[in-house]
Formats: sequence, structure tokens, C-alpha cells
Amino acid sequence: MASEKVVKLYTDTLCPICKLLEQYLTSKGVKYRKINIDEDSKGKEAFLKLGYDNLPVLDVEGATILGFNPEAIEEALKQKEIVRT
Amino acid sequence: MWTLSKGEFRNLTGDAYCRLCSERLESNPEANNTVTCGTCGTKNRISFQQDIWVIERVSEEPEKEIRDRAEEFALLRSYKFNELKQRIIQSLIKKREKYGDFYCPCKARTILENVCPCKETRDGSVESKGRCTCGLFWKQ
Repeated sequence: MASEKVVKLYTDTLCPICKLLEQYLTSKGVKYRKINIDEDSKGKEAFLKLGYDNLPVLDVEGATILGFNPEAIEEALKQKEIVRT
Repeated sequence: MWTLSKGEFRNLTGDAYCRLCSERLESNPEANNTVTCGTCGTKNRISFQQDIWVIERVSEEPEKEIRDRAEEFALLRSYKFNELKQRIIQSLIKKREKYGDFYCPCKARTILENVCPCKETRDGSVESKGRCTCGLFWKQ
């Protein structure tokens, strides 16, 4: 079940794994705010301040998950009660 | 003793180093030779210009350059590709068009260590994680 809680996805236009993650989130019905660092300079600045270089990064209410890791994402979404199974 | 200059990457003992990964080129290169780096698969050209040894990355048609490098690197490490390969190669070509080099499409910073194959991958991340960050190289 989708909710109004904040999920942010840091992504890049040219990142194929980012697109796979977007498809995964959509299939799970998760609403998220997409921050494309390729087009959003402030977004890129915020992303680099997180201390990461690799994309994608998913921020589930402050819990960050690096890369396309369905198990970790699922767990974070459950913990934050964003997806109930 | 070698004379050092901008663009040169050969030390005072005469060893030659790859212009991408900075690792020593295995063979003993001669002038006007093209040497493929045994660490990252990059082609380096060595020339002798005005009494100075110069080593440069060989620049080719972009798709051929990055495809050859990726395939050589995969061969050196016994990695494999999957169906993502073509998409990632195209992303790398677009990165080059936009930022001037084949920066990993899954990395934010456009720095030399993020040029494919990136430093993280050269340092063995495929062995520990099963694939590189962007999914171009996969463990057998």
C-alpha cells in the first residue's frame, strides 16, 4: 500500500540500473520523489553531501539504500510502514 | 634519464604506465607502439616526440574504443556480460559526448577514477559483489 511518506530516489538519466529500480518501485506501488542529478544541480549537490558517488540511491525517510537491492528496499519500506504485505 | 613533460607518463627508470589506471604496462614498449594495458584493457600509444617519450590513450571511434576496452577487461578478469551490456555501452558513449570521457553511468562524479572500467571495479568489486556498480561486468 502506498503512503504519503517521503521516499526519494537519486538517479541519473543515463543510469540503466536506476531505470530498473524505478520500474521496481512503480511495480510495488511506491510513490517517490525522483531527483535526477544529471538535470538538477541542487539535487546533485545534496546527493554528493550524502557522501555517495554510486547511483541509484534510495532514501526511505532517512534510511539510505545504495544500488538496486530489492531485499534491503523491501525491508526498509516495511520498517517505515510504506508498504504493508 | 627521461625528461618529464605534460602528457608524458613514463618515469625516470623508463617504465611506462597506463594513462587510465596508472598501472605499469607489462611489455617493454618501443616508440610508435600501441600497448594494451594488462590491468584495465585500455590501449596506450607510445611515441617519441622532440626527445620526449609520450604515452597517450588511443582515441578511436567511441563505440569501438569503449567496446574493445570493456571486452579486453572482461577477458583479462574472466568476467561475463549480460543483456544490459548494449544499454550500458550506449550510456557510456553518451557520457563521453556530454562530459568528454567514458564515465560510469552509475557514478555521480566525473573524475578519472570513474572512467570505465572504474577504479572500484579494477580493485575487485565484481569478485565481492558479483557485478560492477552499473552491471556491465559480471562474475562468472
